[in-house]
Amino acid sequence: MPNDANASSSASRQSAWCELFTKEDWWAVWIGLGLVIVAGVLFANGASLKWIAVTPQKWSTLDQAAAQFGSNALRYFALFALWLVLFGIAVRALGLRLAEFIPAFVVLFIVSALIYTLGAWDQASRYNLEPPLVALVLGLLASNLFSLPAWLQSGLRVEFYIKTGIVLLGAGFPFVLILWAGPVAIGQAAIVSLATFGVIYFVAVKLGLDRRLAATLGVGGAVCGVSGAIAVAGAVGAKKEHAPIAITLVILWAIVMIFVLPLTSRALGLPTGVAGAWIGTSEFADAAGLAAAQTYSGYAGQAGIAGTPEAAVQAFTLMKVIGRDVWIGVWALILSIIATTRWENDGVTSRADAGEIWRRFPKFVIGFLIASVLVSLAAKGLSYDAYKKTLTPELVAPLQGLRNWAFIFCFLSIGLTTRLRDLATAGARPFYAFTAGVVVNVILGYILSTIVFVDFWQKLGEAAP
Amino acid sequence: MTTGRAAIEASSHCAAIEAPPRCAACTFFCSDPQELESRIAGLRSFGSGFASVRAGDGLCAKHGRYLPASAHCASFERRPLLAANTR
Repeated sequence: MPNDANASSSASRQSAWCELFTKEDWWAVWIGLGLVIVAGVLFANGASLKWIAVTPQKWSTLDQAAAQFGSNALRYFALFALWLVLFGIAVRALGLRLAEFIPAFVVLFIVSALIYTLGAWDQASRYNLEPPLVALVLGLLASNLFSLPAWLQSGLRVEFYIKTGIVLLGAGFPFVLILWAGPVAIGQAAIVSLATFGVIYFVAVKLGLDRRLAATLGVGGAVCGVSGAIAVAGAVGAKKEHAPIAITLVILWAIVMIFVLPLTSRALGLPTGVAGAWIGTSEFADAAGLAAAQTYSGYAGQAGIAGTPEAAVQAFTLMKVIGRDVWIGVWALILSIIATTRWENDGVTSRADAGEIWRRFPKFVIGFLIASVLVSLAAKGLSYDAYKKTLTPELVAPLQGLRNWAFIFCFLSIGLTTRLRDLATAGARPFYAFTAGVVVNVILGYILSTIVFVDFWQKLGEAAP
Repeated sequence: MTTGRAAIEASSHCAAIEAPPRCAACTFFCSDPQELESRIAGLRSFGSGFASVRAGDGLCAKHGRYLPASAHCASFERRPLLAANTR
């Protein structure tokens, strides 16, 4: 069918252009990299983004907290306006209603600011009031105990906020660190991903589940949670009920692990880099994992927990984003080849091709890598002293502040969008199959992070700037 | 009111001239991100209908399956061009 082939190729090219403005991943890249470039230009001209990248500072009494807000009110308002404009342009291009997004984002920003401020209380860690956990619990309680207005949903873009935050995270991530640690992260992730997928798929098939559901569950547990499940559901042509079943199980276990992994790591006294690697290996979704890793960052220096705060997030990112997420296209391609050549197609014909790898590639990772390269280039030639005294406070720290805001928006959105009564009923057999994978994933992730590669992840915690 | 997304998709770069008889152009196929977010429970929590990993996949009302946009079958029915561009 040469005409079909030409038309198909033309449509694919047009669709590729379209994606630049109709996919969240690309908007996260435009926003994140745009901020990094503006910060870089300001830095080169002796200025900084730090005025607008305001974050709550440590406080002991409510009077101090109120005074902080009072003296920085204009900065907080400017920060709110900046985020509203950037996200507003994006959601409009994505086709969401601005009239609903704006009031929703106002609520999200105000509650996020309060949670962020609570986290800056000097007694917060004593009561486990880390902002990611507070945001999550508060959001879960609100969405499951009360009926939230429909318009609020427009502002709760979990993935969009986390992807924007990850691009900004690249700015504080020396590129040399990615080159140094990337291969180990990929190796460790490959071992765990293959084992987890194998266990879930094998148990699911043994329990009599459809192979397409088994594959969807397997990649959801082994690679990148909801994103992995939905990508593979499409690649293998799963039944319409398969993806919701896998998503339900991913969400339930991801939420459990947000609490279990950092609290267990703390009880075991794991260094930040080691805990971050374990979380990156054994959490199921980027947003959930970053909530857990960010929580663990807050434990750095407490009760004998060694390593820098940033190391938990950095190790997590290496494991999850570089080690697992970027391979989703490869998983989708392999499974689509198996599905189209070995499994019954029920009258639907589909063709697997290598373009699958790029089409499903999580494009925000490109922004993360470019941000890392840009800031690493800015740091090139600087002495360690100059790096610490100028580049860090004037360029990197403001971008880290903006990143933390994006993460808080995400963590609160997770809770507010997770309504347990709305989730699909998974059934016992999918639950058993997925849970078998969870057990293997957590144990293997622990062994690899704390025994096999422990020296490596510990060193990362010491070396991180 | 035309949304930003619809305007982008209707632009010269995005409007398919003559889409081939694939799911993407079929009346039974829905790949609209917002629609999928409302139909697939939990997709918005830890995921997104607008994510790159989803490519152009969508739900087929004929077969009850979640399919790639490039799939095809004997039940194909072309969707009207306007509807295809504004979904």
